[in-house]
Amino acid sequence: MSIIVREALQTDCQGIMDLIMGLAVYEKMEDKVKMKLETLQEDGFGSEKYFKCFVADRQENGASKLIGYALYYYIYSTWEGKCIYMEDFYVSPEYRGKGVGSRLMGSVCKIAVEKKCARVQFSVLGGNKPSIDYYKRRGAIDMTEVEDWHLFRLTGSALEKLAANSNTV
Amino acid sequence: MPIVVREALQTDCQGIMDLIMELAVYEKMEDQVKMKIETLQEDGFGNEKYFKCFVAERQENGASKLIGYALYYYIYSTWEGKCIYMEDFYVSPEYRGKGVGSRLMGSVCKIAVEKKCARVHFAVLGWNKSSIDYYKRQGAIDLTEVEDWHLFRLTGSALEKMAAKSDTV
Repeated sequence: MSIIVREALQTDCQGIMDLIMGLAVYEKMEDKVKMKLETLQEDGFGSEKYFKCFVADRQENGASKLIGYALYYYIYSTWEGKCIYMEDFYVSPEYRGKGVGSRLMGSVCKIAVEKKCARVQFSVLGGNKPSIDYYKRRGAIDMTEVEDWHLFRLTGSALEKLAANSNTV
Repeated sequence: MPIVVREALQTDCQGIMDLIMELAVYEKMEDQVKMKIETLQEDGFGNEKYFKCFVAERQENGASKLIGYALYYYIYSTWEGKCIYMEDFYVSPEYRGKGVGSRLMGSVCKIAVEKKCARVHFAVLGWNKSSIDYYKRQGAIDLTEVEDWHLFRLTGSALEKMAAKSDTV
């Protein structure tokens, strides 16, 4: 049994969908997952690509199964320029402790360094102590704890109501 | 004295740089601004565009000055698909209270609605009560307060150290 880390292909989308759900269950938010396979395929591999992804592929006796992924996209800091945001990072529980996570996250970080991105950012639930410890051990900084940054969201009717305020020429 | 809200042009970059610095001073983080005008021009208006921007322009007696901006880019939720992240949103103090902010933020939200983005996200410092109150009045949700999301960052030597763990095939 070997585990390889590689860039995702369109044919990986079902496996990535399964892992997206695995991560949502782990975060106790599985009811919030509205993603459909066709949307993920189009948005990741269509004419406009909204994300990139590394996958960990367990190969044994000619069969392969995705057991981890790190999905990311470029963001922009008006203070430091191009950065990367790691939207999802997950390894199936039975494959943890083997360094797969480090290889996945390392791949995202390598892209950041190669593309001269100043930062890799990501979000973690405050109650997720094992993940927080994992990230802090690797030198990540909790910007909410240290600088008191809060993440805000506009959605639904509040989003639509504000959209009606636009009078752009 | 009319104030026009419009999409930014490359020629607006100096005005946007001035506002980026004003916002950083307001956030008490001006020492963190490393951005240079050539970088902003290239990254916003070059071959690969990392952000989009609306500006509020004050026009009087044939002269114009940028007095506010809202800079944003597309992000991706594996639960809901395409979203928008509003990286910076700022109106110079002397022009507040005139609805310019609502028009700028409204323009970003209108793009979100037109492009079928489920959410507009942004970050606010926890001590910035006046901004927090403003956003909450518009129906925005503090996800750090409500769901305990923390923003993490990897940068500098910690980022490079993680990058060295990559062994992608």
